[in-house]
Amino acid sequence: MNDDIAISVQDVSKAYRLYAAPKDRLVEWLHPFRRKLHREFWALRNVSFDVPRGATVGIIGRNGSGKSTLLELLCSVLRPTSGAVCVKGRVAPLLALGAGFNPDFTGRDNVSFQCRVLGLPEGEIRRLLPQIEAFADIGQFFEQPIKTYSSGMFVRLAFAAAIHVAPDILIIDEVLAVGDAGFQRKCYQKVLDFQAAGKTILLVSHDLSAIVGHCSRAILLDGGRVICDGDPNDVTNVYLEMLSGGRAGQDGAGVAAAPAPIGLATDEAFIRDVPGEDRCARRASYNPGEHRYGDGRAGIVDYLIECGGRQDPAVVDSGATIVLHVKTTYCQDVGAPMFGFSVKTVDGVVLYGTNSLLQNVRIPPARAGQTLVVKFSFTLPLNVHDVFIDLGAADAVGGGVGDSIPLDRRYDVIHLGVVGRENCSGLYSCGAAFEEVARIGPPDAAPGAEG
Amino acid sequence: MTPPTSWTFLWRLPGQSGLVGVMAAQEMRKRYAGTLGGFAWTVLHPLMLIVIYWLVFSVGLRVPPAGNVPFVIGFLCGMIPWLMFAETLNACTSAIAANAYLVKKTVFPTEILPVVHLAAGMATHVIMLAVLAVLMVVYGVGFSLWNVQFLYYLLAMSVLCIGLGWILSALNVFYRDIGQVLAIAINMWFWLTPIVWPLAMLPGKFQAFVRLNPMIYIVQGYRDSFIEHVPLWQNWQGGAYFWILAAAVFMFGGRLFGRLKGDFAEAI
Repeated sequence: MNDDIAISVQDVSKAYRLYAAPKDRLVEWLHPFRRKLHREFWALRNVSFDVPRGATVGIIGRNGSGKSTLLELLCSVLRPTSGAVCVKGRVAPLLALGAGFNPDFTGRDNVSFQCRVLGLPEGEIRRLLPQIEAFADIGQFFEQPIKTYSSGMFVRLAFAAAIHVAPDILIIDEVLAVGDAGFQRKCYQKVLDFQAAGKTILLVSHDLSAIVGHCSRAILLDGGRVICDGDPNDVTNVYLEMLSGGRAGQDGAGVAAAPAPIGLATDEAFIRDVPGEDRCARRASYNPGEHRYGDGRAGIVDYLIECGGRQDPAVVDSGATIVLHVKTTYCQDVGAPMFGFSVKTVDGVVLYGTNSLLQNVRIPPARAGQTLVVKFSFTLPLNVHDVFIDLGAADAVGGGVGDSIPLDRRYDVIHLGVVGRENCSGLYSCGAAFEEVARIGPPDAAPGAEG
Repeated sequence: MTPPTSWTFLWRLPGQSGLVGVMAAQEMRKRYAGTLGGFAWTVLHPLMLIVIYWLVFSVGLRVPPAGNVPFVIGFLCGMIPWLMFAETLNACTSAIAANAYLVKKTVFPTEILPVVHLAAGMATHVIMLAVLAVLMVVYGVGFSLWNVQFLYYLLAMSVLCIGLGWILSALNVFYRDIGQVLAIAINMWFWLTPIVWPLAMLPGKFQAFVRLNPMIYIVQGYRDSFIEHVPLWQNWQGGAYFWILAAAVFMFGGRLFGRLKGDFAEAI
């Protein structure tokens, strides 16, 4: 293996053997004709990639895509069923932070125990302990049993221990999203130090901004296969599209395919078409986990999102104009039709919400059998990766928003990925500009003048 | 890559001595964490067991002493190594499952666990030997340089213990029945070993059969060291038999453990 390669994974597959009953394993062992009594579950199939020394690589994928199995193979906690894993340099095999901690022992005891498990010599442990204590910064709790810790303290200690004993290759699994902002910053600073020291880092996270922000490369796993391997921006976009559209099935096929055509190419065609059945589920951004209710006098039967010249995208650009058509079919007469939508984060924070009443638009009564198509235009200048959109049709009987009767409300019916172009924190992307305007006072020191 | 064997494990052991020490200390603290008695239980528990056996067999059933020393001395010489042996095997059996978090989430040298439990048992062993020493003084049994021989028998038992520990701990990962079977087996083994009964009590024709039990060598060895003051080379046939058996168990145990080790993380 080349000296510049830190991690080499060659055509690795991993199958878990599932036995129906414990005795089957014994029977299989002893069976004279080697009869197979287990089912196989392939967690990884033909995965190959090399990680050069000093690279920071992000690994992303849905739950169950094989990320953890891959890491366990790299740490040699598991053996591959076929193929070869070659890791050069010492790995800190910390797959779950604080995994080896015993709640009855103090922080100090646990940390020194973890160091010993990793095979650190005594002198090194004595040298590291004060550093870890200082980094974790949990005060006198360092001498208390771990069971008395808050979850934040636990994570601080675990991360402090992991990062200080970490040798040539650091594997970080879903951990940086914990702790308060100040501690997170400290963690990322430490990651940067590692990068600067030319060490290899594997970062597994659902926080895509962390992947884009810190990795020079990303690998997307799905169904145990490598779907995509390359620039973190491109890979996270594929991943977002996969998440919102659900296009990549477990077989991993069709990720890069264009939005599935459903026979309507233009606005006009969409507007004219009166479907007999609910077509929302056929949209790329449809979220099967939607929550729907209403009195049934009307139904939202279809919607269409257009953005940046694309119809029915699963991912939109932050700040681009989005046109949302909503099509509603009425089964009974409705006196005061009203339409609304709202945009929410993954945590359910409402970022925006409006409706035709708030927009001061009075819609004439709808007759049974009629289909109404309405249009909202808006932008999403956001710094979040996912948004959920509610659609609603109501009867504004009392003339106000408060006393309307819901006809059909589809909560979280749309799941859109949003790709930000701005490096910033927070939910909103306001596109701030920055420059130094003036410097008043004593002149700058000349370079190299001091000391 | 060939799976590791007993020699690989033995070779790595010096480098892991720090870890073994810390884990053994943890093991002892874990056992009595949250109790008022704390470490006292480590001693009280076997001590009470000994008192009960002594009352039942010496005072109640009037089992005759083996030689010219009181029953309790002979009994203790058998019981002390036996308790260590049984405790270690018991602890080893569930050792890997008990450390599941280490096995699944870190690269942990599971093969040291039998050594850890052996080391953890040493504390009790030392205290029990102190109890024996006190009783020897009380009953006027003289000390001798031959007493030191027990260290050799302790080492011999440790080798057998580690070999068996590897087998039991590895198999128990896949079949939890091992723990159940062991509880019964240990009990039977106890009665098959001349601990509460003197070997001489047994009719001659059974002697050969009972002597197949390797623990006889250890138990008799402790008695030879503390009571009879018999040099260990006098029973060289017994020694040869024991070491062949122990070496076989040790080699087989290491090989089996090495083969199964890679599957632990999946099977737990």
